[in-house]
Amino acid sequence: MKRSEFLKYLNLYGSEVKRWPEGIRKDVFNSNDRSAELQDLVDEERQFEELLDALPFEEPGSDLTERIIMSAGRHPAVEESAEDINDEGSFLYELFLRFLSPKPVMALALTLVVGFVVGYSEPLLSELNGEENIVAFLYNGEDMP
Amino acid sequence: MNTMAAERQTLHDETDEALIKLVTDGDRSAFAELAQRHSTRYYRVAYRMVFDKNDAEDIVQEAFLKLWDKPYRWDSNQQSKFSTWFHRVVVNLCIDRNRKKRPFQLKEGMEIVDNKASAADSLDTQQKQQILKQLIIGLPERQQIALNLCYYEGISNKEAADIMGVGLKALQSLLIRGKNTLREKTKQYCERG
Repeated sequence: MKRSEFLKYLNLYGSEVKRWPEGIRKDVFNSNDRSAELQDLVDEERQFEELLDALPFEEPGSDLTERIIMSAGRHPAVEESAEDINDEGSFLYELFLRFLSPKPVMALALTLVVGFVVGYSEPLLSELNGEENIVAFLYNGEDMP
Repeated sequence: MNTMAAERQTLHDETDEALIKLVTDGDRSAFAELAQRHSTRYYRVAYRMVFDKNDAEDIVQEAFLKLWDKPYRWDSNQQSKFSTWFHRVVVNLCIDRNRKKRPFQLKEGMEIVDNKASAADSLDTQQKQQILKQLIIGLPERQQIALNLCYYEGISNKEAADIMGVGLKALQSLLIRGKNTLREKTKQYCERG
């Protein structure tokens, strides 16, 4: 096995050759060029890993899990099921939940207001008398006979 | 065995994927089981990205709250494991936090301050730890994540690639470049003493 190839595997899978993927490990053990040089590379990698293991670490507080569970307890559970929501529609769905669903009375009132505004701002055909209404409808802007 | 203990044992035997389906139905016990099972593991991932205990704890808590509020975001149809998906949630929160805080980076050629008047040439352990930490923080973001997941967490290259949303080759390239950079820089510092 070439040195560069061996180095690549060392980088990817670490100095514990036993833990390498089986196919690759077999190649290493079957090759006739398992030299002292390769062993030196393994030793170097091990030293480097010891250095990496020196990375400082602070354990989490003993109450972390409890805090997570408690904080969830303060939030209401989600009632919607996954089947109702897909990724594409989730934004609109959330928007709907946020602004319309909890306030149906407000939504109804808003609809009525919009309806009245539109209704009173446009002259309606119903304001014309019956005959004119039909003629206007049939000839819509063209010369009437 | 009473009913509660029996129920707890049942949940304990469930897979993560089965538990999250129960969470989708608002099952608090299933959520608690997931938190007990994984909070420390995801804390480790978060800590090695933000290097602050309080921030890492907050991130894990926020990730679990997202899970509780919107469990349907994990799409069982995508065939991805719960752990892969949740790693992604935690990593993304860490990225957001790091971008807001703009981590300090060790500059090229920065001198190491040795406070001991009679200090020997070699660096003490604590200094080495701090230098290593700064070197890791100084890595490009994606190399740092690849190192964290593959080396420190021992996650397979394939799963790490899935978590990061990159191909296997790209992940391996990130990991090799990250380790090589660290190897070179630590060697430089050690030689400098």
